[in-house]
Amino acid sequence: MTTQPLATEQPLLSVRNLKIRIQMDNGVMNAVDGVDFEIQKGKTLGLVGESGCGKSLTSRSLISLNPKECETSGSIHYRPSDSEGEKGIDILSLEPNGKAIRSIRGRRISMIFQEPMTAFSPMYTIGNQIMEAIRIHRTKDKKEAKQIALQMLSKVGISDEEKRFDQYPHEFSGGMRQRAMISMALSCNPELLIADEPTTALDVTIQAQVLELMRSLQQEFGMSILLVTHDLGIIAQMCDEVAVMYLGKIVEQAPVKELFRNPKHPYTKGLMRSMPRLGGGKEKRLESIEGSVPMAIDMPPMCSFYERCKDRIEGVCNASAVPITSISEDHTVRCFLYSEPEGGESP
Amino acid sequence: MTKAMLDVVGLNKEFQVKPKSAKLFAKPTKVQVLSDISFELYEGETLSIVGESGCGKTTLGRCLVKGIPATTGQVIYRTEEEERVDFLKLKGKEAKRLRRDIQMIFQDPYSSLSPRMSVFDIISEPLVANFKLSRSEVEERVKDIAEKAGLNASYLRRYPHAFSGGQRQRIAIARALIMKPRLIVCDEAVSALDVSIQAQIINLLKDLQEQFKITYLFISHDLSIVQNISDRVAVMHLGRIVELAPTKALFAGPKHPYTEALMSAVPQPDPEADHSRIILDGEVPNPAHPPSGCHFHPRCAYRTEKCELQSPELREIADGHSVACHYAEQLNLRGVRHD
Repeated sequence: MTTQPLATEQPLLSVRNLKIRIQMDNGVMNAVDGVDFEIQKGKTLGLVGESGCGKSLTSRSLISLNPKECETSGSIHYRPSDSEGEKGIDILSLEPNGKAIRSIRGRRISMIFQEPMTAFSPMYTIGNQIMEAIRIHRTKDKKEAKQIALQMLSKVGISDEEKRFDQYPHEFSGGMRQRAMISMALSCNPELLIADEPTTALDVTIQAQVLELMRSLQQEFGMSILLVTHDLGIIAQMCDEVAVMYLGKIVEQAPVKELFRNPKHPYTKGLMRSMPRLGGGKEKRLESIEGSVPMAIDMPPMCSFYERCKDRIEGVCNASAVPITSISEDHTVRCFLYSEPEGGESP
Repeated sequence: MTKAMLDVVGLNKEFQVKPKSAKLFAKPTKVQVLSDISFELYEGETLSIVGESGCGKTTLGRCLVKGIPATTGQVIYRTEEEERVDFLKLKGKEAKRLRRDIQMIFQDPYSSLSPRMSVFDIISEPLVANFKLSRSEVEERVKDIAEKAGLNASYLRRYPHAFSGGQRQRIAIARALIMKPRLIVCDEAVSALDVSIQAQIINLLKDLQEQFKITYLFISHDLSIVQNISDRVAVMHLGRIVELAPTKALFAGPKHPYTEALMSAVPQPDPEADHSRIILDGEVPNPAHPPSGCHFHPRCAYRTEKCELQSPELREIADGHSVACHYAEQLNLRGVRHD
């Protein structure tokens, strides 16, 4: 375990009231609806949720990568560690493709994507693509850039890097491509790495390798990680803090041990129970969450999990927006079951 | 033990591949994708096939349903009338008759359903193709099956695009069920679904099995799902079955190092669990140039010289537990703790 002198420090990144609205044919979709979280230096925050909960949009908005259709509001406050005393930068206020954001994107905050085949261009060699980032952000010198790229390739465990450098993405296997992707993302020593489902497309044995690699590189470079995934197993292994998202909202947030020991929100509990885990047998029936995720179009102010919730209270949960309740110092939940008496008795 | 419904004997499959550097008229080389696969599938059980991508599990599933022709080998099927027939040799009418008994569910519910057919047409197509039934009879049976698969009968006139992934997988299940099959091959049937939906579909498959006494061949890469659905598990590596055992025995005490490594690689949803794991070096070898001897030896922590030279046979070391490893008896491998 690492010591925790960092806890009192300012967070590297804080997101406040992030909202992403998308105009659809049949109404406005609140894809992300008032999300708050902080990422501490050198720590890993996990963002879990099912498809369509807004976790990818949230993570992409940190480097302004969302398409034009997304109307984004709120604030994303980024404090670079080398700017002592400075207030930091609000990423959302930057021009989406301006110089300022481009000096952050790929340099200070970089990202690895789920499908490494589509994230690489098939037309350029792997080496060329890794070098591109280095030449933009670190050095203009081609030879030096190649040296750095080769170093990075060997650091992520790609053997025979000289030969691999000149190969195209299709010559790499899935696991190799993901390693190359990680080496590209880390080539400029970012302070924050956003990993959007980094191992979903990989086999378990390769997944274990990649996760191990990410962990050891985090220790070496001291970067923070925002890990977006749907897999609670990966969360348990990799994260310090977890935020559970459902339909554009964070419904529960806690340190990882606390969340697994003491889940509060009915959705978090449901997720944990419905997950098949090693140790169960055929006789054991999995508990499932009834129904499916609704579309977040023109949602009235009520609990978005209401329809599927086992513990719903009629007239309370579907009557007004749910406030955030603190269970303990660092454990918050968005559910009426735990709100103060005046909220529970009379809405 | 119940009787074997399917008896697979020495199944081989070769694909012909042209190497990248080959000249235009060069002869294609052969890649052995399945080598000498033999197992029995008992009536009413769920047998899972697990392995990493490229191990041949999907090819095996397809060969069994005659989706692609096997190179050599037999798939002996015992019909309801207790006849034993080699499914792979059947042609024409007889093959078509048996096809009713064997159905398949695919991985991706977005590409396995035709976007131009309504859900009703999708589910009823096998019925219409096989029997002469009146319209009202068809309608009745489709509705009945749709309900059993957890679909709302009033939505049957809609098209697949209007349904979510979980609902689509239910449509695919209904389509497979309508022929009252005895065997369903599920090829990664729940892999594309969200966790909460996955649990619904797994429970549905289990319920249907109980209700209709269906036998499943469940192909998956996910060990935690496999443990929750199967009676027996076969672990495949590079076209061979390396371990075959009843689920409990396999997870409590794996006998093949590859099985052990696979189990240890599954991330456990418990932050306080012991995270020390066996991390295999490298990747699955290319089946076009498989390693000598035991195919697993380059990644195996317990390898000896013998493993590089001699290929181990699949042999039974305990009741119903077969392993293909020279040192199955000596090794003390780590299993999974049962709750």
